[in-house]
Amino acid sequence: MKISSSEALRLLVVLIISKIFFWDITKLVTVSSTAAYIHMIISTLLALILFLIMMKFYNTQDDIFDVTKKTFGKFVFYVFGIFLSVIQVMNFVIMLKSYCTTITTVTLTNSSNFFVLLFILATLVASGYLGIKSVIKVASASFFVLIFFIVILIVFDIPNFEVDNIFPILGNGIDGFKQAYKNVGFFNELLFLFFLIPILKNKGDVKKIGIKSIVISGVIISALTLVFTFIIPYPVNTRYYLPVFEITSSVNFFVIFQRAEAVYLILWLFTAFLYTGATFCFLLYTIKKTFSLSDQKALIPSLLLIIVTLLGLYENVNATELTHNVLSYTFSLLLFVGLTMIFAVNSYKKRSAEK
Amino acid sequence: MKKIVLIVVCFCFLLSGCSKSQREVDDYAYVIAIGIDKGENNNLKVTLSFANPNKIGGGSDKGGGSKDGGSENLINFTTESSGIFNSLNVANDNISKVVNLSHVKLIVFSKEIAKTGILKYVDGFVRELRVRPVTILAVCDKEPDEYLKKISPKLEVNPEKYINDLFEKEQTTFIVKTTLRDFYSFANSNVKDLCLPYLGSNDEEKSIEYKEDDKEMSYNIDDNETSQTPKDTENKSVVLGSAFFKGDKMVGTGSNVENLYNLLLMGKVKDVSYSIEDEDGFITELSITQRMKPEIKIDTSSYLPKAKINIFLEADIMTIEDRSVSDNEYLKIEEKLNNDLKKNIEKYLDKTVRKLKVDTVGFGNKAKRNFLTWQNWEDYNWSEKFSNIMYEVNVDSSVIRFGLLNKSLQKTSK
Amino acid sequence: MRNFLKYKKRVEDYDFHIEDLSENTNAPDIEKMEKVDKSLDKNLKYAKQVFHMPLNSDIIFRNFDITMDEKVFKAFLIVCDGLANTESINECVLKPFMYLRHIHNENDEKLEDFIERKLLPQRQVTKSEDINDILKKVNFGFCVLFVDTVSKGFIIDLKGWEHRGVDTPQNESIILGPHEAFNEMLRTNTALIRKTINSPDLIMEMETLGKVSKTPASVAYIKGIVNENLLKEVKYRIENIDVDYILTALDLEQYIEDDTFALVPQILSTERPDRVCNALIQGKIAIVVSGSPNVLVLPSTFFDFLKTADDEYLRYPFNLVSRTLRFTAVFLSLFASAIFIAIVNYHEGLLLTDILFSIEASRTLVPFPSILELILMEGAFELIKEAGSRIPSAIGQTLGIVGGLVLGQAAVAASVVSPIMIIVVATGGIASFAIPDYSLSLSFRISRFLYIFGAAIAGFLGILAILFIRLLFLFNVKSFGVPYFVPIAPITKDSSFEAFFTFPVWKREARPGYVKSQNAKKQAKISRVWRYKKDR
Repeated sequence: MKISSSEALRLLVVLIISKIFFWDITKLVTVSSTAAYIHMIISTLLALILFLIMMKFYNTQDDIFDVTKKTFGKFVFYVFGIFLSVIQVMNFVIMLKSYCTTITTVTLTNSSNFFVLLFILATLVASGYLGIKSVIKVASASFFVLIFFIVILIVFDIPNFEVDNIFPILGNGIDGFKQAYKNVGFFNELLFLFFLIPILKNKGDVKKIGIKSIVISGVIISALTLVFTFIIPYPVNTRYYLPVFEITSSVNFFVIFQRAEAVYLILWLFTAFLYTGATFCFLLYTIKKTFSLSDQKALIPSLLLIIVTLLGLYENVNATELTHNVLSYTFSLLLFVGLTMIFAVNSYKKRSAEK
Repeated sequence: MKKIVLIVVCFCFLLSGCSKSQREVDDYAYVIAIGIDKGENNNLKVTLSFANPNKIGGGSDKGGGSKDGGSENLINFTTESSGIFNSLNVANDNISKVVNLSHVKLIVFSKEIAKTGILKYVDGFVRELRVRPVTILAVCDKEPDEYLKKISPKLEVNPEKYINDLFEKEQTTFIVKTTLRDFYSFANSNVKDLCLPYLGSNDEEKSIEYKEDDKEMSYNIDDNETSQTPKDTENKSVVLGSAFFKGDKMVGTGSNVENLYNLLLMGKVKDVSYSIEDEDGFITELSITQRMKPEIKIDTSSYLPKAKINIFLEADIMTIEDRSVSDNEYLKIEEKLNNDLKKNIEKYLDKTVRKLKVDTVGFGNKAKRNFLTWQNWEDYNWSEKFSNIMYEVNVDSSVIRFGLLNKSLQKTSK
Repeated sequence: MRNFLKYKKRVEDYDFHIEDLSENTNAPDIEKMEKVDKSLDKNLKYAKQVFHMPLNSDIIFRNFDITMDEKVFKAFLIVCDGLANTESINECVLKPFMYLRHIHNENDEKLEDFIERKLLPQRQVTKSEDINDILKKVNFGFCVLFVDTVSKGFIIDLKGWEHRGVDTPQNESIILGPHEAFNEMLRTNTALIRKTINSPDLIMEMETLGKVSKTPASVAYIKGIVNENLLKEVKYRIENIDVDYILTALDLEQYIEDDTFALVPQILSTERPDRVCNALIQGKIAIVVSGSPNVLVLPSTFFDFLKTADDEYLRYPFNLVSRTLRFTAVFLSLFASAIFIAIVNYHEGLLLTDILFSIEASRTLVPFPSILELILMEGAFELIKEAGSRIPSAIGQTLGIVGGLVLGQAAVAASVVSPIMIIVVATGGIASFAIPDYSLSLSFRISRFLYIFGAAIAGFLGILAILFIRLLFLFNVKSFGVPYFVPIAPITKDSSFEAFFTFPVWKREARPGYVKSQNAKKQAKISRVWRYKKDR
């Protein structure tokens, strides 16, 4: 059974959106003060342009590992695979650390991080054993529910909007917008689109899926940034740790909708499970393809042990800051520059082979 | 089978962490109001007001709660310590239940602390997960614990509902409403300043500062403190006026009626009664509503900013004394209303903007629109130029409804 | 007096226990026969051995003579008393043979053909050479006839045992619509289906289940609509079950379903003919088993279990409302108790202050923690449900009063449970009765304990983690090759709106896509021609 293109689209959008429940919006606001949403729109357009450039060279139907193998040979392929798995493991460790620390900030305040980690590990084990297709099905079934909750949050927050908060319109000016290229890292998860190609039904739809996912997630992130700017004015903006949590806790509509933190919890925890489950499956897939293994289920316990041990390297979330930035840039470079080069070389070789 | 075994093994470890954050609902003592005062030796005197659920909720089939409210529903607890959260520790030691801040509705500061700046305490509350950002802040005249002890609502069983309905809902005329998050956002910036309600109690000498220049500060025929605060109530806690803050320090107080002009400038007046007096001495009572927000245009092209304010009102006639009326009586009423309000608003702005240098309306917010980037706004140096702003107020009201009676009777001469 | 003081020996206690059989307890070997013998005595002796006569008291052996062309042939019939229609035996077998004395075989046909075609006025008669096969048919109500010098036995269909008539449905009653239900006879059930569909393309293929019980079953489908691969798979599974006895359709369901340990049922079983006919029209397959009033319909998806027969007969606006109510009932029956526990133990900041004080005031005197209280209440509720289904109707009323009083008033007044807990548990329980299918509601009864466990451990985090893992497992369940949640889990061309809320009757043009039928359209695009005709 292959997955259809709308399911792949929904999975990608969920993966990209799951990061806004952290502090990424605060980063945007620090750089561009009141024009953070314009900054996000510019980042989206940049990512779109880079993606279109990359897709110009892509004319095969294989996933990225096979393309690398064919163009560059086995040695480069091994290096590429190992490099990819290492950075995926580090990314995983950092995301897990962030989730555990922030979940204990918002609820279950007296429990230790390890307690929360166990729940996430349980879902990881389940999604590792049942495969990426089950995770995709859960993501596509719950997509509209998540979007519905986000829309409800925004709608019920309208009485708290103060339109004056978005003036001055251009925020920090061109200096702020010049740094938009750094935030292309929001869309790092597009790399996983190329892992999904073997199980897609229409393999020619890859370009459309990529464009649609960038546009939809860009719109959602910009909308939430705009709402955040409306609710809390500029200089204080930058001090908040979890912006979307502030959006939910200011809902004060009628008697019924006064305490809406439950909506935030549901949104965040569910996207957390989906994100970690999907990236874990992709990590297994990477290792399987690199070393040409027949079965990936045996790797699960050992990988989990490695990841949990590596978690001990970081004490709190601020310690992960540096690694997180480095990883984010590496990912973006790999995705937008590295893949373009691979596809370009591949298509050049193909064309010269045809001649 | 193996997958099930792994999952079960994972879950077995969870039983160890089971009970750390878990606490039953009735194991907590809920704080409804916090009062902060200056103690000896740089200490803080913190008063916590706990709700007594046995009296409020009514118990299970064992008679209703005490029907007249009364001060049994709130239990006060005062400690003195170096910080706010330190006092929670003392409370935990002496009360059998664990203190829980998730239902705090009101935080009251004393006048002395307000004058020295309250941002450090507000920061603590904003950072805390459980205190909600819609909590109301207030300043108290004498001591917060006296005020909190005197809260005894007679028409409510639940004092938390009393505080909620009085301060949070926007059905009151003379009480300003500032939430914790608004205070934190604007106290750090120069675009707007805030005013907090000024609370006190009814059975003491009132000491409101503006009493010295009484005559000049009177805005209206209704305006002296005796007619804005109740004369005699069973619930001794009253709202005395409002307190103006610049940044996070209190710089002055205002009477109750000044809040009306504040609301007019912000566009939130709904169904407020206002009396105007004729040249002949006839008094007309009107009820004014704002259906459109006022237009405030600020011109920052020159060195000093200029403000143009247009306020649009609808008025309903409540009482009108019998007298001989001409055909365009209503035009006259409108004109009188416009002039009255214009004069009073300008007086209010004189007091706040010129004298106290406080921007309660939010001119800064509107002035920001004229600049393209934040740098330009900072370069303009608004906070120094602000108090010399030239304002021009224009009120435009229209009498729409007259109640059930059509015209006033003509006085027939006998 | 003397007897009174005399010492009496006590009678030994009656002590019986089952002893193991010793090894040589085999019965003497029966000589095996395979084919019907020409000699009647051999057949008779073998038949008496097989039926353990004279021990078996309800098998009747009747010897009689057939006179034909002045030759006398001995014959005997075997029939089971109670399973066969006694009047028919007399009318169709004994009377023709015993009254007609001057039977004349004109064309010199073989005796067996002559008897079968001219002398047995009964609608279903077969001949067979396999004696074991023939003798087994006696157990099912057939009448078996052996004639001397004929090497075949006659199997005459004279079934006529007592059975329930066509009644109203016990578990699926509705307000508007037909009130017929299946009963335990195979032919009555198939007749109810065939008279509604009324098409020669409806095929009822005969299968037998179980090596010893040989329960007859029918596989029903409409040729030209159903997918041939699905049909092959169904027949393959049914024919390859190696078991002695299959007694009812629900037994069969457990043998042929995909996943035994999934908590959800994968095959729909219903007792209404109109639901079966709807399913057949959509391209599904129905299995009717003799002896059970439940008919299996496969393949089924999750949304089929949440449809009642009502949905076809009620008008569209109320259809929408009742389906919304049903989905609310599903949500409540799964999550009501779990959310309450999560909020009361971990997330008290989510309650409004007024509600919080009411809950707290009503719980002050209760000595248990809330989880224990909930488990007590749930346990009591489950016990009442179990007891209620077994209780004789005379005491049924008392149970209602006792349950209500004991659980409700007295427990609350004694401060053993709090009133709010009763409300929560009752909400969940009543909501689970609103689910149309019994097996599905049982699965929800189990799942809600999983969520309560999750809520007790970690609040919303626990509930969501367990929900996620459950969904991962659930979305993998397949029912005969069709994924269980088909319009939403793998997205297909069918709209998801139609799964949750149906379209109006005139808009259902296509058969559901997952059935992959040969003829996908069943209505024209404009089915209400009267609205759009140009000339009236």
